[in-house]
Amino acid sequence: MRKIIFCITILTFLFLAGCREKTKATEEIYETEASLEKTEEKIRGSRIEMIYKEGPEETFEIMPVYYQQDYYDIVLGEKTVAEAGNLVTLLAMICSYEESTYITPDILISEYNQYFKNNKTDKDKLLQQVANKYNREVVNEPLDVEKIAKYINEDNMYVLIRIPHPSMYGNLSTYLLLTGITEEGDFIVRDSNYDNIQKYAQFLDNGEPVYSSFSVCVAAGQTAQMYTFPLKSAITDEMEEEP
Amino acid sequence: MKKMNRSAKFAFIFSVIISIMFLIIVCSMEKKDKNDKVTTQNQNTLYEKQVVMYTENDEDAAYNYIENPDVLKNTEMPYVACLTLNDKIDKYLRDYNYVSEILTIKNAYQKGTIIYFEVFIGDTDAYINVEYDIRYNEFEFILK
Repeated sequence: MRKIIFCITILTFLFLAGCREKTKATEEIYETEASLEKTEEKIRGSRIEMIYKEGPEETFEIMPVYYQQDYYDIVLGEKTVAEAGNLVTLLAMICSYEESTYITPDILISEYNQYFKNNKTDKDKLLQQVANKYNREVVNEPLDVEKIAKYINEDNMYVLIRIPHPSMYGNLSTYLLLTGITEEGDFIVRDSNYDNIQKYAQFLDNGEPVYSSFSVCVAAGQTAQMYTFPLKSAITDEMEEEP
Repeated sequence: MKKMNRSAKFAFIFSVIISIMFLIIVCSMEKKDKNDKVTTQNQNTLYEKQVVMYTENDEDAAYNYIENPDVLKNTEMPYVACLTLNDKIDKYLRDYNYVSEILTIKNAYQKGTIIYFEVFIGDTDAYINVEYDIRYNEFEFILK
């Protein structure tokens, strides 16, 4: 009888130990899944640490960084954001900056859903709508380096440029967003294509990517366009100043 | 066959139960590992398949572009020339029926106000000798 009790005790002990191991393993799996979700959440926000302006309101000092490759499962027409989300991803960065909140490409697509129908992005209307939302106008003109410097340094604007041919930055069309100019005269940029960032970017201490202005100009050429988004009030003031 | 005594019976049952428990735990762990591997593999494949290709269907797809313009950064080439450099080379190459080529700049140097460099065309041995005069903002091309 003692032997039976002894055996049952040992068996129970071993069974419990086994269950504990299994529970431990399950907990580990849950932890891994949670951390994966956390990583995904992190990737689907800004890829650089955000800096806020001084003051009680939490206003973004810099533009967040999103990469289209992080949105490989978000559909955009017949393709995905990873494949064809160049402009959308850059506009998401602009909207996030304007609102000081994370409007990622998937949020932007759902918000402006009507402009992504029939497998074609209605670019002009989309740009206009985004600008309208922040009480801004869309100004489209040929790329001009001196004007870029003025817009960024004096008018405190960001400049969206479009390269309408293959270049070192893209197989067909490429949009780049110029958000600042370094002391060396290079462009602080937002490029939605992570492959480009890996190949061509230098980085500021705060993690913002920088492209050689020389390379951007050569790659852009004379057919490149630039889009700026001045405040409507600024345009009215300018018109009133003119004789 | 010799009949087992009581303790031998217990030992046998004990070992069978332990083996079954061990097998159950190992199988459940392996299944989970396998599922995780498949999911990761699927995600990686999905990522690798997606080539960035943005188009608005109005591009000049035949454009011959320079892949390493930064090679010229150490020269005194002004921005006005930077903006026209690739367009002029592209136009020159199209006259010789070169389209959609990737161009590589090599052997760039500056002597006085003249900048010299070679532009290699795709994977071929063909190249253009380029001379740029800073004073007159003039390019000269010779296909070799």
